[in-house]
Amino acid sequence: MRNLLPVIYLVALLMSLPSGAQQLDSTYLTQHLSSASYDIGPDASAIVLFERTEVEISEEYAIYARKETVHRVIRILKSDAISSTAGNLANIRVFVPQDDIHHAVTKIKATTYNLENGTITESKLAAQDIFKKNDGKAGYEISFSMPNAKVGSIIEYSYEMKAKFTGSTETWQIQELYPKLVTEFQFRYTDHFAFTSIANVRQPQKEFTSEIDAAKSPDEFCHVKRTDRFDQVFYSSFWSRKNVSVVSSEPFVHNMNNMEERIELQLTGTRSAEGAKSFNHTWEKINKQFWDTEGLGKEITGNNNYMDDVTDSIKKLTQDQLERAKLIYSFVRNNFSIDNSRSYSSKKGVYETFKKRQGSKYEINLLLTALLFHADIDASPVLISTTDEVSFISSFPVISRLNFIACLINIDSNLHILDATKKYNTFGTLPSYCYNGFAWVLNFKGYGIELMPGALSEKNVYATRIADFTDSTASVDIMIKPGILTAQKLREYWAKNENNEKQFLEQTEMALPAEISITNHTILGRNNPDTSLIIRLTGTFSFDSHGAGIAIPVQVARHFTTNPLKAVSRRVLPVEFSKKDNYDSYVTVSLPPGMIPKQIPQPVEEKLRDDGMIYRNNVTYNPDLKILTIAAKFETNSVDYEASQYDELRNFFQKVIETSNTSIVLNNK
Amino acid sequence: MKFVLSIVWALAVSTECLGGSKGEYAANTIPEDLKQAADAVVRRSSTRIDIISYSEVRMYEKHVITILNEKGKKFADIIESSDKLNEIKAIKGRLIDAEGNTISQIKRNDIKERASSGGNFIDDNQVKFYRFSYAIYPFTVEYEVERVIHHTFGMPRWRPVSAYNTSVENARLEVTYPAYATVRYKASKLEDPQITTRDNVTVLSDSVVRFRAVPPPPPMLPKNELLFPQLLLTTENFELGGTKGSLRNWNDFGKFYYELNAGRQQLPNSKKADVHKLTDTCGSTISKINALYNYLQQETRYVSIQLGIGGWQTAEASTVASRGYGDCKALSNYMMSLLQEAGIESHVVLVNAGESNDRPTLGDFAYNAFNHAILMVPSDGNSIWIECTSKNLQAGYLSSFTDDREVLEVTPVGGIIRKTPVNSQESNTLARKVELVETGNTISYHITENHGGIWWEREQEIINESEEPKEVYLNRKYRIPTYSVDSFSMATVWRPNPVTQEKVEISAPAATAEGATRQFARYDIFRPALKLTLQSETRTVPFEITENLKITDTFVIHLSTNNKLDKLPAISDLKSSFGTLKIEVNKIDERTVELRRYVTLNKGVYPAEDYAKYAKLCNDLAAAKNDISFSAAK
Repeated sequence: MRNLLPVIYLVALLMSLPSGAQQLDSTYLTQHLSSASYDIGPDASAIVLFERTEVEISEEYAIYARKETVHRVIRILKSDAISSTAGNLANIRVFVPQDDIHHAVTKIKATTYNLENGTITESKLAAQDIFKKNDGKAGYEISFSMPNAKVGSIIEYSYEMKAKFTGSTETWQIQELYPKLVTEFQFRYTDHFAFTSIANVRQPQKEFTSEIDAAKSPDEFCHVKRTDRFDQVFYSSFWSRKNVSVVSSEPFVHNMNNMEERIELQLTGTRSAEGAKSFNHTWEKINKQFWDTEGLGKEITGNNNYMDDVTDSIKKLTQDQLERAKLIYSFVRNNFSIDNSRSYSSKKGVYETFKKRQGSKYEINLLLTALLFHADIDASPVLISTTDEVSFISSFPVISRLNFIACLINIDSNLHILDATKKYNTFGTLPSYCYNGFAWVLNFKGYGIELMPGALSEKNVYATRIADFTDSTASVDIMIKPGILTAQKLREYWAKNENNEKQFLEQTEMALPAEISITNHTILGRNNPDTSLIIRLTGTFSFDSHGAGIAIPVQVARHFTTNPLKAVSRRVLPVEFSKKDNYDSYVTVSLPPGMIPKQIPQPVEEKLRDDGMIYRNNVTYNPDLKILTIAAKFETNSVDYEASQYDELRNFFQKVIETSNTSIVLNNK
Repeated sequence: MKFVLSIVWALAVSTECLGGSKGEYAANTIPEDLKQAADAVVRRSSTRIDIISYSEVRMYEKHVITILNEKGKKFADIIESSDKLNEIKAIKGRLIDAEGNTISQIKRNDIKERASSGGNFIDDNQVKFYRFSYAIYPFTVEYEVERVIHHTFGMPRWRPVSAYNTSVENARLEVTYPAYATVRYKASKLEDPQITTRDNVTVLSDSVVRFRAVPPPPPMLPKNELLFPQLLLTTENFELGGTKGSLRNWNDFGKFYYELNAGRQQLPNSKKADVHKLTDTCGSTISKINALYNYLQQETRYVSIQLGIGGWQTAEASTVASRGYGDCKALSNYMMSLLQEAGIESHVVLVNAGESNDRPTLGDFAYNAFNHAILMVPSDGNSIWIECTSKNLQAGYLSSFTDDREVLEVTPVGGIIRKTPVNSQESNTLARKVELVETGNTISYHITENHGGIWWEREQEIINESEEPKEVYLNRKYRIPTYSVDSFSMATVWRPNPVTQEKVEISAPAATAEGATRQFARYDIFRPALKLTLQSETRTVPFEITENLKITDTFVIHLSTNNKLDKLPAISDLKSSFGTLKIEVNKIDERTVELRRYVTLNKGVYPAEDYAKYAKLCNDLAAAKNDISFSAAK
């Protein structure tokens, strides 16, 4: 009876195959080969007609094995789908990670269908056109190019890959470069494992009892859950998602990864003869894993006597904890270099990192944390997923999203967050890509924090003095003080190539009003991230005194030279600014004898609804000192807006630009 | 005996490496003059190439480099590429501190090996790499690399100075080869090598001593202005993948390529039938070429596959016919086969393709100088050049990727040096017209643009996009602080060279002056067509304009009846050997003005003293400050 079970199962499985997985028949091919475009992507260069991925995780001889079966059917509609370097659908690469026993790609099949003079032609991939290339110890790559793929073709390929299961998360990426009519994912695993799924799908999930029913259903997001008991118990989840459009990239989206639909399945438990273990399913468990099991707690809070020379000398310099922290931060930032390692846990250990003066970015910040702790400062590592990854969520720790570790210190209940991995980083500010939502502070207890873009506030200052008037000129002195993040980016950019600084200055000068020509510039604090960056430009303001008066620009060095929000037909995604952008602008004019402002304009105030952003402009004139002052202030209070507010935002910026492009006219008395 | 010599030399290098005397490479022993303008100093560099036979070359390199600051950090990376014909046998190295003490040695497992695509879809390239991560400057890296190269086609070139801001204390090359072989060389910025004999082998040697760091060159350095010493090497006869050839001259090079690829032009019958169907009724050679080129573009696509000798030997035409794809050689060979079936003779042409500054003059030193293949239909007066990897070009037009350079035509009787066509100013013309209509607080712009030749190349990517990306592009394109696109159309036409035609309607607010009725509007809404050059530099080396260019811009400004122009834009008339800039202003009435701007640039090399004029031309053309002002009519 037991031997019959697999046969019954196989029959059941075959019966449950959805229609899309059947052989492509001529009706199906003719229909699609004749379609000029598809509603889900009228402009798309290709449409995925059908896609099915099956992943099975099992245990074989105490080794976790992973089997992946892929089947794709794609219609090519424009040449860029098969000619561009990125996303060339006709050039297939399959990377096979190296392991001791499992790795293999088998059952490779590929066929291109074309409609030629009303007849469907088939071009099959020949075995000699499948190439294998070793990729060091990492594994190897199998590649092949679809024969006779051209605009109008349908390409179909499938393969099976076996490898060791080494990761902790499986991801079904639902939305990708091209729209999909049907995409399916089946995930099976034996009862040796427990997985938890985390879905980011914008359609409601409807439950079904069979894959056939799910496939036939008009519902766009279907799920079938099943348990099969044979030699081993298999848990299986099947999802089907239909009519999947593409998420187009739009400016002012903080993290595009968050916008794409996907399902992630994380390993959260194992069962063996020794019993069941559960892990990775709460942030507290993650905390325990890192702090205790992987030994980070010991690394940071251990004896670490080898650090004495550094910490003792710094302790002697100052008793003030904040000053101490700044000195230790500068020591690590300035004396340690980053290597190629991508490990997120301390592979070589804090001691090795300290000794070698090098480590991965994670190791450098762990070392920073350990040094601070050793200097009696309350310091903890912070687990972060940057904007290169999907944001962490507080309700469940998807650990594959972890790609950065920073350091948090608490001095007199004031929190300071640090990253010492880049030469031009500043104390207390992380690079903007770290502000990606939830993060986890690791320590003996651990807790979550929010690193939101709104927590980043930039203050830029522009001050201009116009004086020493002659008949046709005046002197101009412009001071630009960028905010911390901008200064950090500028310093990094200038350090890359010495021409970059010149180009920046040229562009800055080009953006000044037409009447101003710059003859000299000075940059203060160029290489020192611990000081303010100040750019000073001096030159001449020219005017035609015989014309209709002298027009003094309301803003000389402008923060917004063009509207950051360009005109668009439609905005789909919410508008998210990466930081609170603020600026103060002052233009001070020492008027020559006999000259007065023709008119002092009324103060200007432009506001977004709920005071999300505010622009103010105020002109004052002191007739005794003959000084005209134009003060402008731009304040951001909110960084997140609905897509429907795009036009409102754009109009707001338009008014700010229009106002900052106006002039005050000076006339003779 | 030769092997023994090699082993002795390698052992000597290893012994030296492992037992380098303490303090030998202390940073303070670098002569002061070598530190000037230097980010790194090559303390010692030894390269030895032993040509054992035409199919086996052993190469040993040892480099000791002191890195003075962060900008020299690239020298702390060992990146060595290899393939099946060029194997790396060993890499060793150590890290040395400022005092000359060894800090660490590279362990075998520390060297990473990965596949390297080299831009190809399929190849056998691998790369081994290692980074000496250290941040206390100065420090020194010492490493040695041992290779075996299984051919003599394309010998390694010797470049003892590999980067700007890098000094060389001592670099040495030694090449040994058997008596039956002849090695040819071409030295640039370098003494000719010495040639001696030793133990029945010929020894070619050269050296560079105390080479001071050179700062990065100013922009527009002429392509042949080589700043670093270089020795090109080649054996007169060679072997590649079992095929023998000669590099005595370009004719021999061509013969080798021809013979390597002979007999690979057989088409299947179905394709032959297609050729006749397409061409039998064509009345002229050019119409047949156009029909077949169009067929090639529709039916095939470019896929780069470079495996072993396959880097030089084309896939059979029948293989391209069945797969529908191929690399540049394979597609050129396939197109040649199609043309042959139609009775049209054509030849493959080898070319060094790439950006405008990579256009070598082939001269009389034959060597492996090519990275691409195209096709040519020879004709006494007007040969037709065909880029077989392109989906967008038409027969007879070469883009800046392959135009204007010496190439090698492969004929049955050998290689012949040819020159690809130079695109004229008429072909490379950018013609734009903007009609600015002021209506109260709003300015409407009616824009037409024609981008020809090289301007078309820069614009064509967006032309092929769908409507939405085009709109996004246009909404960012113009130098107006805030505006919106009301309508647009974009298309490419061929007459006979490619031209994009764009028509765009946009609207924007005018800027006003408080306390007065004066208003400002930008009429030159285009980003600078010529890259701005830095005025602060005093030029000491010649500069090169690599393309013939022509720009004709017309701006017509119409003010409403309420306003009048305050001040007309400045006129300009600049003439020089390298080109012209002329700005004409024609005031039609109080409310209408027409401004015409003509720019021509003549391809060529010009003396350093002309550079200031060129910079002025670029700056005058830079449109950022070209606003007009107007105020209420009294």
